Amino acid sequence: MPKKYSDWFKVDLHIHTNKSDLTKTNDYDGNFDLGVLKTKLVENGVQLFSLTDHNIINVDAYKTYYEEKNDGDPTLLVGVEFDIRVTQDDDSHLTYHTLLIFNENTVDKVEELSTLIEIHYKQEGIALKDRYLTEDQIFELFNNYHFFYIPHAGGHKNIIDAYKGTDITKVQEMVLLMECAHEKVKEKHRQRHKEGFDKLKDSDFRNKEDEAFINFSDNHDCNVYPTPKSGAVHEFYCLKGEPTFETIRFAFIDPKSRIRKQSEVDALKNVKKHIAELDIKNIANVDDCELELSPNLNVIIGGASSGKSLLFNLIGKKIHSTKHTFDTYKKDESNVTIKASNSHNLQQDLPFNSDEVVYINQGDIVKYFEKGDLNELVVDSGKEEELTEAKHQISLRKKQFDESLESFRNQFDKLNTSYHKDFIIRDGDLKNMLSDKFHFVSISNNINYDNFQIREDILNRIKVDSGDFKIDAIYDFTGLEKKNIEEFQALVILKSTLLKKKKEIQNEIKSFLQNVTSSISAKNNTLDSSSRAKSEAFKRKASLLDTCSNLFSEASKFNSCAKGLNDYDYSVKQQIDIDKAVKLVLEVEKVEDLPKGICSCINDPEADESIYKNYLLLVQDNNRLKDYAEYTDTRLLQKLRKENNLIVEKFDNPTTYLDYGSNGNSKNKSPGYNAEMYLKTVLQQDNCNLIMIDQPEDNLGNTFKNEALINILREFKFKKQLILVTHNPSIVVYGDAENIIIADNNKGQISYQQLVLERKDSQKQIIDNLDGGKAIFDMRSRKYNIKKLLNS
Amino acid sequence: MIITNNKFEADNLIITFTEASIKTKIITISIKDDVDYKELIDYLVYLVPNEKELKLEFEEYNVPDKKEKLDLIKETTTEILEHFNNSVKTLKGIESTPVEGPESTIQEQVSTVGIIEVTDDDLPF
Repeated sequence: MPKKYSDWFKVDLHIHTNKSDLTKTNDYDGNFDLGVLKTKLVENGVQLFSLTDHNIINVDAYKTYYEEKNDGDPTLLVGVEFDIRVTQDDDSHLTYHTLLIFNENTVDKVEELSTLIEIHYKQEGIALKDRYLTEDQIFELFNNYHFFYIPHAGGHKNIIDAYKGTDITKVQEMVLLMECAHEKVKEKHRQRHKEGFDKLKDSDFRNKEDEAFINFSDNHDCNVYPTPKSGAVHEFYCLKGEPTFETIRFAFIDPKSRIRKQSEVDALKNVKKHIAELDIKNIANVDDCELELSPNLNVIIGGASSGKSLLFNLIGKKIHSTKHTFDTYKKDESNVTIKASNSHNLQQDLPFNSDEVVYINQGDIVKYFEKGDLNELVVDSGKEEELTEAKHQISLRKKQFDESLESFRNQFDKLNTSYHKDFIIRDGDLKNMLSDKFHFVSISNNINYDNFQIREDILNRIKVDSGDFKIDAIYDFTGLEKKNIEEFQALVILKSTLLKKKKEIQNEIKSFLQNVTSSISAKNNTLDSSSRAKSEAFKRKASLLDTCSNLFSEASKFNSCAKGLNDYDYSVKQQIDIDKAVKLVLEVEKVEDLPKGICSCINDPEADESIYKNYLLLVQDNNRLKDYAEYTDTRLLQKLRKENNLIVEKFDNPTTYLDYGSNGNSKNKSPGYNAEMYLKTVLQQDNCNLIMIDQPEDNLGNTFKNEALINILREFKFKKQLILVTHNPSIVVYGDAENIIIADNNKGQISYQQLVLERKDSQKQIIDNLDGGKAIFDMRSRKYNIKKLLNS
Repeated sequence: MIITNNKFEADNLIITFTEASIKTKIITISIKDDVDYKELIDYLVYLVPNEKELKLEFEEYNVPDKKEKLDLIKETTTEILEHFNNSVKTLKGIESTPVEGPESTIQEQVSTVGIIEVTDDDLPF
């Protein structure tokens, strides 16, 4: 059964019959039998062919075929292989071979064309085996016919050799401006052929990317069909569409999308999982229909409120897309069934994994970038949890920043307190310290005690965690592994005991030193007054030393703290994988001058000086705290927060943008640019099989629509199934959609119909339903239309 | 028990610590002017984890013109050493959680709790 969308079929427009023996000596190699050929064509799945004898038409063969043709038989187009004579600069002649394939497939027309040819040669007096035409004669003879020109461009009797010694302009006209293709250029030679051909062309015609190359069997013996005269193995070429003349036209206009070798087609058809069919039944106000979907580019078109988005969302519901809005239509779709490419049966649903589908509703993309917060994108991508976690991480960073300010405040306050302590040494203290009276020197407590609490907490956690770890079945512990855990637990208990003992020892040392201190102090108090005075003097000296030492120690710590803020990097970046290719980035960038903000808390700060030196001014004069009559540590913290509020706010509103990987990022880009780049990036994803977009052109820049978007669609439609709703004729025509579903709303009753680009009557409907459609079709046709180009 | 012998000699108080498991330690404290017990205290802090009490001995002295000062020094020194013994007794009296594993291991590790650096590194710990 032929597909309702543009599907591939085999074509062979170069087959000889024994009629060629009349014009070329011993040209045909066997006994021609039309029945045998037809059987072979059917066996090989060829759906469009032509009998192209040398400079002559086998009218009988054509007549027989047309008269006996049944529905489903391969289509036969009238064709001839002509010798084209080219006069060289030295007036000698060279010939090349070319196929002319006419848009004719009736007995009358084949007789008409044959008569035309025979009369021409009779009038010219050219013998059967000397027949040739010039290019001018081609146009004179066949001016009233539509035909394709398919010259040999490689091998024997090729057009390039024929023109090398003369004006190349004609080649350009014939093979570039005409709707034509190059025949007989081996695949491996095509690049070299293009390069060589380019050297011969005028500069305007060079580097054409979509020159069509095609090969046919050139069979000269129906019994060995499709083997060519050379005996080599023939690989069929396929065209996409229906087996018609118009399909050939589309193929030659757009060979990249519409001409493929059989082996390539086999690979293309073996695409990833995709939707093959949608059977719509019993939906209120929607006609029942069976829609077949191409594995490539499917477009849904139609006027306003015609049911395009309804169909789009219906498919979304059937594939379990989380973003479909079909339910808003309040229609029962329970009788609608869907079929997967790898299934023979229609089913209720066809769930895709979330990473297999990109589903974008109308206006989604633009919506994501309008406000710049991208929350909608996150929600649509099902990444809310990741976003919450990312925001949490940023809030932790904010907390760290605030703690840094608080730590700065605390350290400053310690310095400030140290600075304002009493520094006392009394008159006579020096004299008393130097007296010959004795006293017991006070012991100085310079012990750094261990913090046992932290270690105890760690061991307690390990005890609990190792217990949980040991009994967790998910680890499948072996006996030996369990023994290892038990040994570790025993070690933890051992160390707990050790820790406890060390703590007791430390406490006892503390107690011992306190007792000794008390004893010495008590003994000093029993001494005579001179000795006591000496002892007191030494105490004051010790106190002064402590106070000074403390001041310098605090100053040193504050200096370190201030330097830390000088170099403090409060920036933070969190990334969320929206999908494999796009990351959402939440970023707090280090743009504000933190030292400046810190120094702004004091009156008349010295801009060129460090935070430390500026805050020494505040130590010396506590009244320099800006906006406050008097310094307190609370006020300093308030001021620090206020002066650095811009940074704090950044944590609350981090810069949010998309990272497109090698395609850059969305930072400081227009919504339009971002919409384009996002779309481009999601289309490029390797892992998804199905891309559904409702009106991708919405709010995208025209340049992107017409060039980048089309190129991307054309590139990816052979790698994944695309289903688009669109109003844009460029997407449909230049995108070369394989399947066009036209939605129609007739007084509230919606219907869907499938169209293909290469069918003439479809083209009219497409034009009628797409604004600017006619212009796009015209431009597409004109690309290689010699008459219009020469007149333009 | 660590035998702790105290004696005044010239202008010094010489304290000698002797016990089979430790190397004999001699601390000399000048008493000519002020009396500074720092070296003694440091050593005692070092000894605490061993949990061995001191057995005090004070040799007789007869220096009439300094008797009052030496008596006070003896009294003070004795108090310090008794404070040490009290701490050791307290430590020994604390009922520890039964130790799993060889006691010697624990003991070795506990001994490293000595927080004050002692310049004499020839100690058996």
